[in-house]
Amino acid sequence: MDILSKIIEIIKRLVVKVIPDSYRKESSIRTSILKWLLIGLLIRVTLMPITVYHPDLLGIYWRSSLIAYHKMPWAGGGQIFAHYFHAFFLWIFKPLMPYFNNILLNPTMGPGATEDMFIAFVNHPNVFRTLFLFKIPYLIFDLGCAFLLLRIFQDHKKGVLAFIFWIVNPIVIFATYIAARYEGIPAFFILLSLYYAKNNSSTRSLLSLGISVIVRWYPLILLPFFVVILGKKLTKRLKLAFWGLLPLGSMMILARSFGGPREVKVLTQIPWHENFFGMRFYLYHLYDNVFVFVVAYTFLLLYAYFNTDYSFTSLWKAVLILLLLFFATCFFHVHYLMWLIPLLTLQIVEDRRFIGLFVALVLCFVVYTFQWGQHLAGFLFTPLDFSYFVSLRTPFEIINQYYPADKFIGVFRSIFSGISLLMAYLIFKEFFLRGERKNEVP
Amino acid sequence: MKYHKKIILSVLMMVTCLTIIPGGTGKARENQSENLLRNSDFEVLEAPDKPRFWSRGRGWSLDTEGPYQGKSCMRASEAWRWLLQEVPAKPEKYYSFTAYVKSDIGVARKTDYQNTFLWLDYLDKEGKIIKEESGPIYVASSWGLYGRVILTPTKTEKIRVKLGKRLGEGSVWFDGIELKSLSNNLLLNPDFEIVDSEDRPVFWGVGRGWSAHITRPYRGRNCMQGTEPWQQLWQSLPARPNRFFALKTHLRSNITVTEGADNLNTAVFLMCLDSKGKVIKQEERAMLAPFSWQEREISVYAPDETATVKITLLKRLGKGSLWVDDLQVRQLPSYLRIRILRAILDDKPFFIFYFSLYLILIISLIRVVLKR
Repeated sequence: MDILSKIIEIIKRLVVKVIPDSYRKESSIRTSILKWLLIGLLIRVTLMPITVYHPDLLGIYWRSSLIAYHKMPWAGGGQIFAHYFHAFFLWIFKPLMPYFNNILLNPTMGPGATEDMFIAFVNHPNVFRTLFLFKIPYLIFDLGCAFLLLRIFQDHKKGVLAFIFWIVNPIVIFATYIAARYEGIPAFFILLSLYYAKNNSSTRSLLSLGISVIVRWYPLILLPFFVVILGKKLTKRLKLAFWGLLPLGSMMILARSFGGPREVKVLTQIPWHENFFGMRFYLYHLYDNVFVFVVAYTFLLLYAYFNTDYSFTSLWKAVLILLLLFFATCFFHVHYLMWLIPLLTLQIVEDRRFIGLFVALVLCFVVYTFQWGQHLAGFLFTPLDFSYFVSLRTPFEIINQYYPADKFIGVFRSIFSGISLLMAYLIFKEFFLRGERKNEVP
Repeated sequence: MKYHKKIILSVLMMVTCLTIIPGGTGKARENQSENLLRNSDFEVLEAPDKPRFWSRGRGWSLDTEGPYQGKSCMRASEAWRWLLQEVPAKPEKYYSFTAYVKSDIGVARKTDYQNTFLWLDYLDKEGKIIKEESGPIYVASSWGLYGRVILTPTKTEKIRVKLGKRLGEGSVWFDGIELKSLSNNLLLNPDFEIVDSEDRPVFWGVGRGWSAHITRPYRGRNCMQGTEPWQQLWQSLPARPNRFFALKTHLRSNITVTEGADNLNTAVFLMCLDSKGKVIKQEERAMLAPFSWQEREISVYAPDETATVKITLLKRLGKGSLWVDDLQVRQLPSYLRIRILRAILDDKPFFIFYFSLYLILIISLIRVVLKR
């Protein structure tokens, strides 16, 4: 019982650390946090063992198992941090998954997760345990994000609202537990970066952002905004840029040392950078193209540079506008939408109009996912019954019976873009154009 | 103890449980049940040429020259004369019925060449015959293991085992008769440990290119190696409609394939056949057998009119061999066709942990809501 008391004490201390003092003092707020936390956990625990997204989840864990179980230390193929992160958890889970080679093995030892691997995986007797364990690392960072939001807001009502918005957010739940991607990890480090920015610790802020860059590439496009808005002078900006790029630089040195120049090349290739150039205007001469997102990015960065008040609010609003523009103008994989949520949470807490817009956005997003066919339809639930869920018709096929499905999806995609642009416009107008600071996060 | 302490203690216990009892490790797949027949190798006599517990007709004698096991075996020299024993049995249950048999009857392999009976009568509680299976077999001149899997009809209370010579000039010798209940695995010789003089696994049908192989089996001494594409390895089982059958098998191969179009080197089938031998339902799974042993599973729900379930494995394509070992077929209750229920049985430690966690969360939530 002595050991038990010690463990309880450790858990208590952990709770004390994750929930700020001010929130714990008020009984109603504490109860509210606990209630929504339990609701969120129930949703997560329900989905964790029953959904699988092929090939992403199996792919990353298969490649990470090469590091953890097959003594192949450089299996990353670019996403080095992510693979070592997953390999670490596989190493911890090893005693709980003695069957691993039966459930997830590429017979050719290639890096991909094949259709055959998927079928073997979902039909394995231990598939539910495996999926549950696979998603535990994501759960840790996901909950970390929720608790970080409490720390970002000192106003309890706003903090609790942000917490609730995160904990029952359909996009967070979808991206982390259904599509089962590790978007929660960069989201955590971005929120940590914002937390430090709010507390005037810009070096730590940039370092956290830098860590998020090595997990996922997209925070790299946010980095110039952090540098420009958090640094008032050139020397300060150079210093911040250094801290922001330090993790990436270190990773490149490691890649060069262990994997050679080829690994550095792989590392520097942003897998989805082509997405930036999808929407463009060709000016009908030579190679004269105008990429819409690049135009918007340049405009926004320069605007922030010339008009910033170096505040925390300017920072997150500028970054939120940027991401909204990205989703409005660029192709994105379904789980990318979670990139928006940490920043959108800050906005929704301030302006309740955005809750309605977010609901509309999610509805359009549901239709948007139809273009992935079975992968985001029946395949997701194949662990429950492979034959049944594989045989189900996809929403795409059903819609196509009555109306061209591509056009149908396109219409909803366009509405999605329209809502994103409206959100970006509202934020831009109310904050930057008025130049008022009414909505400063207290 | 305080409430939160109880919760933490419960979670710790569950985690410990999950850690201590990891699932998915290799399980023995043989049937360990006892032989229901008494004095099955005729070692105990109650009178000359009369083994204890057995009734015999004319033409039966004890032979001590060259039995398969022990000191004696039984010899039948007259056709259609029985050596029989009755044993209690349960209705709608699977049993294996096997015997070591040899014969010196010289019968040419033509239309009616089966020289021996491994006969079974299924009796109800009044001793009336519900069903009889004559089980004619052709027995060769050296000791060999013969037999089949049986499924007792409804209302079966007893099985009468009847051994006998069927036709031809000469005698038939019997030894090591076994009638065993099957539960864990309905297949006979599931790991190919018993092979005949030509290295073919007993009770299995084999196509060209299949042979017993002793290098790197998954379990035991043997596995099966298939070298020819589309040549089958199969075994059939009696079955009833509306039952659920699950097959597990271990596979490996050295077939070199390139990732891409059709690289699935192996196919596993579970077929449901009616009483006329017509396939009425088939579950087929093409798969890629890896370089090291890997377990694969396939299942089928038998439709109406199913009389037999046939399992078939074959190498599909590519250069190289396919190896198969340690198969298991289970008949599961029909509700277990619901995958999640099957998974719960297969991975009890995880689901104990999972449902406990779920329960704790729900109770905590109710408590928080009501407290408010």
